[in-house]
This record gives sequence, C-alpha cells and structure tokens, in this order.
Amino acid sequence: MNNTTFESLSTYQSHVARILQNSFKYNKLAHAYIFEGPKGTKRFDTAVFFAKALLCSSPDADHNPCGICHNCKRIDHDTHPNVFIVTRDGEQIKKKQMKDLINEFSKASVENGPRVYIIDEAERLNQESANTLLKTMEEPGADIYQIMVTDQINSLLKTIVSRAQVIHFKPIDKDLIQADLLKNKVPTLFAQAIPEYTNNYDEATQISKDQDLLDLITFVKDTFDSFANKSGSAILDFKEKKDTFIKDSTRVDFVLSMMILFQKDVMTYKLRHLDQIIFKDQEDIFKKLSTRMSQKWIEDILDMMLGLKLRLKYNINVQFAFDKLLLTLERGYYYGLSSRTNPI
Amino acid sequence: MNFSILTEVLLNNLLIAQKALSTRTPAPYLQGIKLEVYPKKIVMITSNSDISIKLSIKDESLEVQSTGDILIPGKFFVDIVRKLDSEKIKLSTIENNVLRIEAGNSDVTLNLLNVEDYPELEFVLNDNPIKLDSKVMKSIIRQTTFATSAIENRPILTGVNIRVEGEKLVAIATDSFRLSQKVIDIPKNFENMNVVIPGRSLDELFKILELNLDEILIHLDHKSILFEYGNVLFQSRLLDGNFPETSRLIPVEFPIIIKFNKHDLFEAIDRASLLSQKDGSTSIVKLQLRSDSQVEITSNSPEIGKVIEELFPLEKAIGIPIKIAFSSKYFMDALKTFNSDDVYVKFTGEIRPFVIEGDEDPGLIQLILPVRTE
Repeated sequence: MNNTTFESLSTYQSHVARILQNSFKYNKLAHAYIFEGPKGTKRFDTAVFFAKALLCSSPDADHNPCGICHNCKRIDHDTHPNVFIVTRDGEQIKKKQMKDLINEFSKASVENGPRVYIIDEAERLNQESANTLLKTMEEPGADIYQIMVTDQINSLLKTIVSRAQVIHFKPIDKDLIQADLLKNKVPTLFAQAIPEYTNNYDEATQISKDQDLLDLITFVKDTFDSFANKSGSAILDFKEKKDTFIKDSTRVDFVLSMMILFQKDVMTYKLRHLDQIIFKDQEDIFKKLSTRMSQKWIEDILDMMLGLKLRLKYNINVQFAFDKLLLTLERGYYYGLSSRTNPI
Repeated sequence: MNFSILTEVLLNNLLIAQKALSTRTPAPYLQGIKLEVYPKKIVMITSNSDISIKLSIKDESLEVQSTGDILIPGKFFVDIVRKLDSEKIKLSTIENNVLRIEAGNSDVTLNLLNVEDYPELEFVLNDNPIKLDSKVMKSIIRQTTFATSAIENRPILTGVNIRVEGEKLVAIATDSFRLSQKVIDIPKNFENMNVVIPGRSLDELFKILELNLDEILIHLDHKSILFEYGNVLFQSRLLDGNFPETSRLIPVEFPIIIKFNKHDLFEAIDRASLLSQKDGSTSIVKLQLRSDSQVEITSNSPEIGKVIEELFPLEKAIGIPIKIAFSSKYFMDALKTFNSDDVYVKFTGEIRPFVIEGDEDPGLIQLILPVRTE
C-alpha cells in the first residue's frame, strides 16, 4: 500500500475515498473517525493512508500523499513521532496503553504538524480503556486526529461512537481480489478459488502465500480431474493426503469448501450457464463429469456436501464422513452408479 | 563518514547525550544516538521524545576524513566507548550501514540503525535568551519540581509552570495539595511567557547542571523551551493546556506567624511522624500553638502510641492560639528546600492553607493545605 492514492482507494471503497478526499478538499476533517466494516476491507491501510495524506510535506493537488518525502517514508516504517498506532496487547487494549497515549497527547508535539492516532480493533477496548479514551475525545486537542478501526461498531461505547464520524467499509468485490491476486503472480487456479472462499482481502493474500493451503486446492482439483479422466483412484490418493489436513478443522472446512466449488461448477455446466463457471480453465473436467450424471444426482451430492459443511462444527467422525463422500463421488463419476445413499 | 577524536572527549559528551537516550520506548529509533559529522565539528543528538539533547563537539583532536549522518544504537555504543582504553578512537562507516570502531588494539563493528527513521528535531534558539546563573537554575529546579503531581490524572500538574512577567521569572509547581513558588528578578526586556515544563525534564536537566559551568541560557518560546549550557542544547517538550491560576491561592495577610529554627522543626516533625495516623500513604501530624506561646507537635495513633514534641519558637509568636494538622511529608519536603536556618510558618486559620518562608530565600514560598481532622 505504499503508493495508495484516493483514486486507487476508490476502486475498492469508492464512497470512502470520496468522503475523505472531500474532507481534505473543503478542509472539513473530523477530529475522530471510526472506520467500520468487515475484516479485510482495507480499513487499517486506509487509516495509515489518511495519516500520510495529513502529514505529507508535498501532497499533490488532489491531496494525495507523495509517498517519497521524509514524513511519508517514516509513516511507512512506522517511525513517525506524530503517528501513534495502538494495537491490542494480548486479548485486549489495556488501560495503560490509553494512559500512555493520553500522556503523549498532553504534551506539545515532537515535530510540528498534525498528530494522528490509530486504534486497531477498537472493539477490544475494555470498559476502563474506553472510558479513559472518552475523556480525551470530549476535549480534543488542536490538530489531533483519531481513527478507530473496528468490525464490531456495536460493541463500542455509544458515547464514543457519537463523538466520531463513522465511515463504513463495504466487503471488497470478488473480482477485485481476483485481479489483485493475479497481479501478484498468483496462479490462475488459486486466484479463482480464493476469492470464493473469502472476501477478506488480507486473508486472501495470506492464503495465496500459504503453500499448504494451495496444495490442498491443487489436490481437490486433481481429485476431480481423476474422476473426469478415470485415472487412478481418488479414494486411494485421498487416503494419502488426508493426514495433512484431517486434524485441523479449518483446513477440513477449506478442503470441503473447495470441493463444493468444483461440484458447483459441474452443476453450472450442466445447466449451461457457462459464463458463471468459476474455474474456467478446467471446463474440460466439468464437461466430462456433467454428461455422466443426472442433474438430480449432482444436486444431491451438492446437498450432501453442504450438509457436511454444517455438521463439521459438531463432533462427527470427519474421516468417515469424507470417506463416504469420496466413495459416493467415485461411484457416481466413475461407474455411473447413482443409487441414493443415506445422508452422511 | 569517517573521523577520529580523543576517546575521552567523545565519552564525556556521550555521557551527557545518553541522559536523553530512551530506554523503554516502543520506538527503537529513539534508542539511537544520531551523529552528524561536519568538516570542523560533530553534532550528537539524542531524544526520548520528552527531552532532546544536542551537543556540538569541536575539539583540537577532531580529524574528519569524510562527513555524513549516522544513527548508532545508543546503549551499545556508550558501553563500548566507556570500556575502551586507548587514547584515540576512530569511527568510520563501512558498507551496509555498519559502523567500524577502531581504538588501539580493539576493532569493533556495530550495525547501525536507519538514520532516515530519526525524527526531525527542531532546536529552537531565539535571539534574546534569558541568562541565569546555573546555581540559580539548579535551586529553582530543586525548590519546585518535588511539588509536581506524580499522578497523571491531570497531566498539566506534572509540570512546572514557568512565567515571565515583566521583571520577574516565576516558577510554580503544585499537586493541588501543596504549592511551591519561586520568583527571581530578571532584566526587563523579555516578552511575557507562560509555559509548563514536565517535572521529569527538569530533573534530567538538573543532572546535567552538575557540570558546574557558570551560566545557563534559557531560550523560551510559546511552543518550546531550550536550555543552552556550554556546548549542550537541552530541549524539553511542553505540556499542553492551561496551568491553574494560583495567585489567589496564596493568602496575603497572616494573623499568626511563628519563627522556628529550621533544623529543630524538621527533626521534631520527623520524630512525630513515626507514630502518626496514616491517611492512605501520608502520615498526619498536628501542630498546636498554645496560649503560653509554646508550640507542640503531636501525633497519635491509638493502637500504637503517641508522640508529643515541644518546640520553642525563636521569637514570641504573633497571633492567637491555633491547632492545625498536615501531612508530615509535605512539610518536611518543603523545609528541605530552604537555605535559611530560620523559617517563618505563617497561618491564616485552622482549615486555611499555610505558608513557609525564609529570610535567606527571597522569592521562595512553600504553601501547604492542612488536613481536616475529626
């Protein structure tokens, strides 16, 4: 995010960019903001960008920070003495952190110019810290700006919310995340799969760097591939791979989600909604599989998968459940056996 | 950057500079010492964001080969230089932001911090600094900072209020239970000022004043205060906000005045405080002026015991009998600030603040609020 501009921000969060840029343009900055919205919507990055726009020594005519002056650079390095970033200490933001902050702001600034403090995960302010903070919000100092970043605005004190301008961040569009992943040289298969799993920008980037998870996506693809080409036994392959994820419930969920995506694509192909297929490059697989089985069967399997996804939260035997799912899939896709099976 | 200098000269300056070195800050760049090397001098800068020190070092032994700015990890550098035994030291940067220290048989390399991360500290000098005897400055600090508030609920009270009003320079500290005020005369050509300096900054300045140079220059501005002391520039951040108006707190007329020998009074209160009632962490003693003009200092805690100290005022006390209770710590703290052997304790009433003054301490007033008992 080193070279964010209002323009690049507006591709993700157009109204946020507009509100902030206009406040700069008309010099109508609020002294306190709450950046509220689900995780991974660039709230924190925007807060840092805001600090840069405020402190940059040579912003352009559109109030974009230059990104290369001493102030911008130090904000990037998190070493600017006028920018304070508070993150939780353990599970909560502690009262001491707020006290330190207030202590800091009771003095004149170290360097001339505005001061900004950013509180990440503001919902983690405990009662005491929130009250301590409230006191300073009641009498904001000159040239001091505060940004609270949260995904649970309802758990902030009402008195705090009422003293700040709330800016809502919308979930980021899947296409944008996909485009961004592709730009970062993430292989197409993963770039198509990940945004379907999460619309959290940060999480998506994280997954795209986690080789274990990427392997799992490839594995699911290979499984469907071997169904389609009747090459090898998916069940045997699955037995080998299983150990790497079966113990970790989030990974199990990840694998299942990926299987659902593939199964959905088979369905989509069957219905001939070709433009809605997620894994466009794998159309060959879906073509083969969808011709083998009835729409009803494909739908049943999808039902079964979605049901399993729900039941994963309970104490079920994940291993058996997956074996049964794989078996049903293989019987169907391999041998065309569509005998109704009992739900897992 | 490449220069050599006498180790002793470097070390002496480092020892001053390290006073502003940050130890517990979350900002690692403030744990560094910034060195700016110029053709004829080197400049050393340290800051813990509350105080900043800038030293200009010009010395005959200084030989500069090449100039440049670097940021050295402060603690390691000071420790290394302190332990070197050679007479001269040579510092140079080698590739990849690494400092090489050569001194005698020692050859040390030290990884540097990124000098770009260092804040742009502005040391504000003005054309018309206030010149003070450094002993006077020391006594101002000694006589006021102790009375600043230790609790940070009201940050402004953790500082010492310095005012320039016409021909007077006034320093006031209060924690809202006691107040210490020192007024000194200065020439009349300074702009009126009203600033609040964190007490802790002044405590650090006090340590630097141990160098015992003659005078200190105060560069006062509405936004900053800078002390110039030899080759040392010591700048402190100011506290934002308005210091409470204290002039009306100090009573003008005192119907009751008692003159004591400072030493005797101190000892008596000290002894009485041993068995005094504890009100939280403060111990309360009572002072009573009896109708026979004798003074009694008492403390009583029913479950432990009772102390009665009799004191003879140096002169016949003026005024009516009075009985007043106060914190022994506050009283002793206040007494310690006086150079005079004899002090006057002046009362207006049993629940009114009282004042201590001394003949040899012109301009110094210590005010204490009594404690309500019963």
